[in-house]
Amino acid sequence: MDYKKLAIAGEVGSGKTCLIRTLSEISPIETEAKSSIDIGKTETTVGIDYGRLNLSEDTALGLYGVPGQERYSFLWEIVNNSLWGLLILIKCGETPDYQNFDKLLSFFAPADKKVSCVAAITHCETASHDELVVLNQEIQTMLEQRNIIAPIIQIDARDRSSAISVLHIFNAINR
Amino acid sequence: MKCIIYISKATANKNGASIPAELSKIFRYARKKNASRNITGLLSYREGHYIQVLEGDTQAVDELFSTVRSDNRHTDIKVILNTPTSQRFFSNWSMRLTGSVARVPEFHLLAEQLLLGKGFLNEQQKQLFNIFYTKKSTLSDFSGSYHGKSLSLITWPDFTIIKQTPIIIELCARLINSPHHYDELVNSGDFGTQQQLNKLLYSLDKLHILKSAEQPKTKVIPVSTTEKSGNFYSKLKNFLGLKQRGL
Amino acid sequence: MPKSKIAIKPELLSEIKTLCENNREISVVSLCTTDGFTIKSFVAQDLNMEADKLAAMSSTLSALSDSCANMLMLDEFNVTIVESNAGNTLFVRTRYLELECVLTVTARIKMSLATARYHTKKLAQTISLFTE
Repeated sequence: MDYKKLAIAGEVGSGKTCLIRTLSEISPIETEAKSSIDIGKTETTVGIDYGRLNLSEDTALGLYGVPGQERYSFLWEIVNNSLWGLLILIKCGETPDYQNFDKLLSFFAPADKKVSCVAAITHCETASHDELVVLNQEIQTMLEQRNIIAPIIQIDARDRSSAISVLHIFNAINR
Repeated sequence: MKCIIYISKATANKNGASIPAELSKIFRYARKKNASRNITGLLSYREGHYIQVLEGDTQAVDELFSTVRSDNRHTDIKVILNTPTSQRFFSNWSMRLTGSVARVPEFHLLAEQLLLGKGFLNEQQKQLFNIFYTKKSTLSDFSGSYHGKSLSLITWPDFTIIKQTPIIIELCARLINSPHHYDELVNSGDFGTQQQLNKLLYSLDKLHILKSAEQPKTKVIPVSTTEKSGNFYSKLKNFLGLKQRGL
Repeated sequence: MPKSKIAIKPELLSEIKTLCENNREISVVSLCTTDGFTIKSFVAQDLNMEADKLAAMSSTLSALSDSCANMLMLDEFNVTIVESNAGNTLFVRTRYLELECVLTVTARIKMSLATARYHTKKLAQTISLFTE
């Protein structure tokens, strides 16, 4: 069995659960809990969301959604072992917690570990061009500081072809 | 009317990293304030530095600039231009934001008229200005042919500037991984006709991220994948191909 | 952060204190929301465990347990037990002032699992009866 892991990390509401739901071929294992703070939705992921794509009979890609907050770093450790790719989801419309973002990047250290990394901006359907430019520049700087060369793309986590395009990118980079 | 251009350093945070984390706030605030004072201009961030152009009524610009000077989100403010002017370059924007000033035609105009001439900038100012704008920035430099060149990308393009399409992603992914001969790219046929490929390459060139070198005598060997992982990728590729055809 | 907003009632503190004082084998008592925010946490000094990480772990385990209970038993989870040679940790679903919470208790091996379970369930029930 050839099995690879794709970690999907992001802040609350960035669309991890949604993306895994869109991509997974098995019914995903979700760990959502009622949120006690106002985050614009009633449920939030507090554990690993797990989904899987069967590429052929003996080959599969595991999708692991992990919360982006540092207090969940014990989950980062679980998925970090022999990682194939790191997808970072960033929600447009909110300034990300860059301190935390930097901790995530330094933990996964995709540049040192030679793990492919892609940053994807979600919720950008209604965003203005200016908003995207600002966010792009901010993310780019964060990546540069950790010597990470990664594309910053825009995706719609609900849309299957958009979600599949993320895999296309990983495949293109990793080849 | 007057125009002020300055370059400053973004304030470093605790771990020493410069994060333009306040950029979105700065931008939103500037746009609102400027509109109310009829000030126009441009803001850009690159490699730990901000460049800002402010133009408008002399008193309004001076007042605004003194506020800007005392903002602790940036330091080492160096004025590279402070001059009376009769025209606005950015009349359509209360604050134009861009990741690359070289992509803004109005900035080329401004640079040519007010900055690039002999004796306009001293050495220190030139050095700072080069962070944002070098001679290479002028679009006419393009020789028109990549023939016989070996091409690679130094980083991914900003997809808010060029459109994110599967074909450009494929091209970038290839050029990020290792240098490729232009002729090999043409012959692969993966990027349409030669003309279409040129267009893609040119769009990357304009962002100053395309590196082209004379084709080395020895053949560039693309990084080969191991047998084991190759198997995985071919299966993934297969899978993605099937998905694309809607199966 | 909800930490500042969630009132910590004196009754809650005294219940936890009483439990710990009467049972020296208990090394961790933590109450957090199911989405992983600490309400109150007591941890033996030698453990060096940060409250917010403990809350994150409790929320993760209870969410995974709930997912498991949903799938295998078509029910909600009540208790998750982690056993080790050094002791047992229990995660119990409860409510505190209308908030869905998880109570986490660790007892060293000297305390039997049954006793630890009894004390934890009892505390969880007491906590769920507090009113604003």
